[in-house]
Amino acid sequence: MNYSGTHSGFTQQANMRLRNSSMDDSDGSQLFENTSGAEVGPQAGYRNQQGGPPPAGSSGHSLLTDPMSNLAMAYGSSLATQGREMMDKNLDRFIPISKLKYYFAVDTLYVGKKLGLLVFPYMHKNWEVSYQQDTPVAPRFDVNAPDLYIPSMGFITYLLVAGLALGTQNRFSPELLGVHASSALVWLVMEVLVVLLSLYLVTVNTDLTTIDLLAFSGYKYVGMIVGVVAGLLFGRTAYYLSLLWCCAAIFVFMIRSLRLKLLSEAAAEGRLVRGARNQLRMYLTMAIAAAQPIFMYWLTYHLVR
Amino acid sequence: LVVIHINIVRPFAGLSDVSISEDVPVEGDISVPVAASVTEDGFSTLDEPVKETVLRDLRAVGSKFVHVLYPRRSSALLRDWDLWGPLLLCVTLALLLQGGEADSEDRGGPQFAEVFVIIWFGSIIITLNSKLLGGTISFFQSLCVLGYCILPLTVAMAVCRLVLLGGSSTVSFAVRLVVVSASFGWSTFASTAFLADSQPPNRKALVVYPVFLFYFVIGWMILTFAPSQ
Repeated sequence: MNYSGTHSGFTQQANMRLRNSSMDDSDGSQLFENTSGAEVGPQAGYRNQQGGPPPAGSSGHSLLTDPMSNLAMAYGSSLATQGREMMDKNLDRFIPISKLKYYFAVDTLYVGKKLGLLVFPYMHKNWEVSYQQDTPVAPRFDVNAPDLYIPSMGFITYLLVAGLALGTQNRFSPELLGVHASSALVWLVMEVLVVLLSLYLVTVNTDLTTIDLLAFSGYKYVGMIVGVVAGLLFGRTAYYLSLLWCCAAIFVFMIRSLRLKLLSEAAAEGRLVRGARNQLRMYLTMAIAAAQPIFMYWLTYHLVR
Repeated sequence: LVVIHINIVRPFAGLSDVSISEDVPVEGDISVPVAASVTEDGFSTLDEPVKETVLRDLRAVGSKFVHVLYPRRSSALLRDWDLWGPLLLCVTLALLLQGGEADSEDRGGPQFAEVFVIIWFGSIIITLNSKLLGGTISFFQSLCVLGYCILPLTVAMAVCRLVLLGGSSTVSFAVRLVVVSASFGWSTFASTAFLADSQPPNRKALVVYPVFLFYFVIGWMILTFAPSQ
């Protein structure tokens, strides 16, 4: 890093200082990959180092030669760094950014395979999520791991496709987009809450986190988009046919994915296990899987007339 | 484990490339050269006339426009990011989209605020997605790139309005379709030239897809604009 910098104006130096800390993202992180939360720590330390020397070095050319202002500037910039660190730490408490990064550690190949799985899950044999010393492997390396990229992109694409569908029927206005967005979001949140509640009531010992459930619930948007696009292009029969296909596919997908997570090991392997608890768990899995086609139809039927 | 090289004034030059882990407290002396007279070289911009300040910012914005129009692999847009250009483009586009005819009961075209919200929220979502995917670009740099690449679409909007002055027929629709599609492709290509560089190659398509959606929405708004008679 060039601490002496180019002295072409006070404002540009201030910008250099800001951009020095933002340039870390483009220069410093070439050293390590950003797919886990580990980069928060070292980068914060790196930025702290950056915050110290530049103000002291460049302030010699500030317009006030008063040493007190140098001190004030150094203090101010260190305050800013501290403030940002504190904000990062507090934000991390509410929205677990590091955990979120795990769900976005995907690549194009994974997305392609997963989309194929969502539409045609019948040939896939092995549905287990592979682990690596107690932590699940990143979605990039295991096609069975849930991710959040497909659900979020699916949600946004669904909104846009809904806007398009309404537009072709001359029923579109931009605020309808907002109405659709909020109602779909509310349905999603309610579904996740209901599933969480029923998991709690049935006292299932599972390692499914809330974000996992969010991811699984978000996979149905892919089927919805396929149905609506087919309906727009080819008419109502195409919409019903493709929706039927996607509903069946997502039903099978959910059952096979959740079976391994919710049922006990013996039942998951297919052996017949008696007992009220296992029955309850099986019903729960089937209920969750059956809710998906219902939502898919509910959220799309008014778009294709 | 992060290795940090710290250059602090020390009496032993041979220690200048010592690797220090970050939890070792580092001490040293920093000598600050306090110059006696300072303001001659124009280091302070508080004293210059306002016209110069405005012109300098305008020139910076203009140079970035040129970079967008001829997208090469240059890092000028990323290094000196600013948000004036996107704001200017956003306001221009929103103004040009005013005065549309009422499509449903009481609605005109997109309101001014709606265009703003769509553009800025769309950019924020794309930036978040890019950062979560592990991009090396910072938040505001990404906002800057996405905002500047709206330029071709704004130009297309102006062209569309001119075409619509001659009446709205199928020919004018075809012309508008071609113009908007071309500028949409240009915008997407320009922004991916900057954004995709910050991702490893097996994730470029994942970052390009939301950008494609974003400019598609803006292009759709431009294409469906019909002036009120």
